[in-house]
Amino acid sequence: MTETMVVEVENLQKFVTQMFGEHSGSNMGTTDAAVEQMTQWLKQFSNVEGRVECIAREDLEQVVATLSFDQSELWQAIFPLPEQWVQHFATPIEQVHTLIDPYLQEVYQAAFDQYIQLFGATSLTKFMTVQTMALMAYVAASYFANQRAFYEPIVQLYEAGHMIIGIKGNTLYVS
Amino acid sequence: MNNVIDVLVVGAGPVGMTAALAARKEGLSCTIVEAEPQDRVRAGSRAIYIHKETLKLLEEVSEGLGFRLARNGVIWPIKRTLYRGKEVYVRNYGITNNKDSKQLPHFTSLHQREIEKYLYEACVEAGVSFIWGEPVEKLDIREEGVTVTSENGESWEAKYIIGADGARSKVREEAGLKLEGPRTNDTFLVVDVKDDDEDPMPLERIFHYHHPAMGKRNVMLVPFKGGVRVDLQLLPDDRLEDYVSEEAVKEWIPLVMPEKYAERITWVSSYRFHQVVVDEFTDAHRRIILAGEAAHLFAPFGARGLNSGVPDAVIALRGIRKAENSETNDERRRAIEQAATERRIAALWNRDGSTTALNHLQGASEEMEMKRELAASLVSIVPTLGRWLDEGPYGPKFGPPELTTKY
Repeated sequence: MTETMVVEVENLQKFVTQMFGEHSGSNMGTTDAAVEQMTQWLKQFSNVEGRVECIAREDLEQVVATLSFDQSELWQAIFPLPEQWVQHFATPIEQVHTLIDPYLQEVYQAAFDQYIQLFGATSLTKFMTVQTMALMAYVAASYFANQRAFYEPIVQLYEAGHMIIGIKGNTLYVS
Repeated sequence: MNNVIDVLVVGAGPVGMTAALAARKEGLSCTIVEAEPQDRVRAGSRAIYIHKETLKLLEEVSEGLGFRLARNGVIWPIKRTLYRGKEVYVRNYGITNNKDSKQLPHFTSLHQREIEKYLYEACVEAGVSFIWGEPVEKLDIREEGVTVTSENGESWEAKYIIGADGARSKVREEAGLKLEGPRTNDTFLVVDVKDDDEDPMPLERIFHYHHPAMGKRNVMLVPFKGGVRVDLQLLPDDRLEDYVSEEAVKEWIPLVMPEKYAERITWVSSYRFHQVVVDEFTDAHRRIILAGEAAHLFAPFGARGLNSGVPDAVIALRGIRKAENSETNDERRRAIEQAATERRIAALWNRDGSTTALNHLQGASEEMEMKRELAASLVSIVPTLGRWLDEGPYGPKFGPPELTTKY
C-alpha cells in the first residue's frame, strides 16, 4: 500500500469513528446547529427548493415507510454526483475501488452495532444500516473529490448525535 | 401387450425431442405423438438462448448435436446494462470461437425454430418415429403401462409416457396433476426483428432499466442468429393496445433501435407470466413423467424455460432406464419417483430464481426502486453495484445441491 493510500484509509476510518462514536444517535429528534447546517447544505443544489425536517425517534418507522425518490428533484441532483466527482479524483480510480470495499465493511459493522442498540432487531435497523452504507459511499466519493461542502456537514451531523433518514420529494429527513 | 412402445413422448417441441433422443440413447424404442401437423407455425416468441449445460446434455443424448447448435448460433461477446441511459455495467468476454469442435461455448443463441430443426434431424437419425396431427385425448394409466388414445381414435400402448405437451398439457390433465403458483401482474412485450446482414446490430446484449426514450419502462435487446429479440416491460397503468398492435410497435421500435427495424418485425407477443410448478412430476402409477412447460412455467428472465426442460427430459429418461432395469415393481416405482422428485426440486428452485429476477425488474415497491437508484448512482465508486444491477434480471446462477444438473 502506498503512503497516500495509507493516509486515505486513515481518513476514511476517521469518518467512521467520528460518526459512530459514543454520541451516536444521542440527539435524535432535537434541532441544533448541526441540523440547521443541513438546510445550508441543501443550498448547494441550486435548482432544488429543498427543506430539512427533523423527526422524533418515535416517528421514524412511519417516515421510513413513506420515503421515495419518485418526483424528487433533490434526488435527481444527487444521482449524478459520484460520476462527476470521479472526474476530479486525485487518487487513481482503481485504488479508490480497492479502498471502498473494506471501508464499507467497517461502516457496516459500526452502523449495525449502533442501530441494533437504538432500534433492536427490527426492520428499521436493517433499513438504516443499508441506507448508511450508501450514504457513506457518497461521503467517501466526495472526500476523494475534495468536496468538503458535501461531506463535512454530514460528518458533523452524525458526530452531533443525529442521523440522516432519507428523502421524500425535496425533503431531507434527519433525526 | 403387443407392439408396446418403451417410451411414448407427447409433444414434438424441443423438450419432447430431447426426451426421445435420450430414450434412444438408453436403447429404448420411442415414438413422438404431436397434436399439430409437421409444418405447423408455432405461436409465441419461443426460446433463443441455450446454456452450455444444456448443450452438454444435448451432446450427451446425441453426439454432435450440442456442437451443431453452437456452430449455428451466435455468441454475443458483450453485455451492457444501462440505467436511465447511464451505463452502469459492461463486460466484454471477447470473441468465442463457436466452431470449436472440442469445447462447447458458454452459450449459443438461435431461434427455437432452428433449435427444433436440428433436434428433429437428430431424432430422425436416431430412429425416433413421429406421428403428426394426432391430438391426444385420453390416457388409460395402469400399474403395468399406459394406453394413449387420440381425438382421431388412434391408440398406442406404451410402458412410459413423457408429457412434453406444453402449458395446456393433456397428459398432465389426464394424470390428475395440477400446476400451482401465482401469475404475475406486469405485462411484457416480446418483439423479434430480423437483423440486417449488410448493417447488423452490434452483437451485444443490452438491458435498459428505465429506457430514457420509453419512460420508466425496461427494455432488453438480445441478439440471436439472424435477429434481435426486444423485450419491453410495460408499466401497470399502460394500455396493452397502445404498444402491441403492429402500428404501435412500429412507432416505439425506432426509439430503442435503428428505425429500419420497424420494417423488419417478424413476431410480436404479449405476456403475463405464470410462475407455476406442477404438484408432482409423475402420476400415481409412476408411468407418466412430465417435462418442460407441461410441468412448469416461468418468466423467461434467466432463460430457465428450455434450459430446465432439457434436463427434465434427460433425467426422466435416466429414471426410466433405471426403472427398466429394476427387479421389482417397488424398485421400478422408486426409480421414477427419484427422477420426478429431483426435477420438482429443480423446478421450484427455478421458479424462485425467476421470481427473484422479476422482483428485481418490476420493482413496484419504493424500497426496490430506491435500492436500484442508489446502486445506479454509486456505481462509479462501487462497481460491484453495477454487477448487481446487471445480474439481477437473471436471478441466482446455481441450483440446490440435490440436483445433478445446473438448472
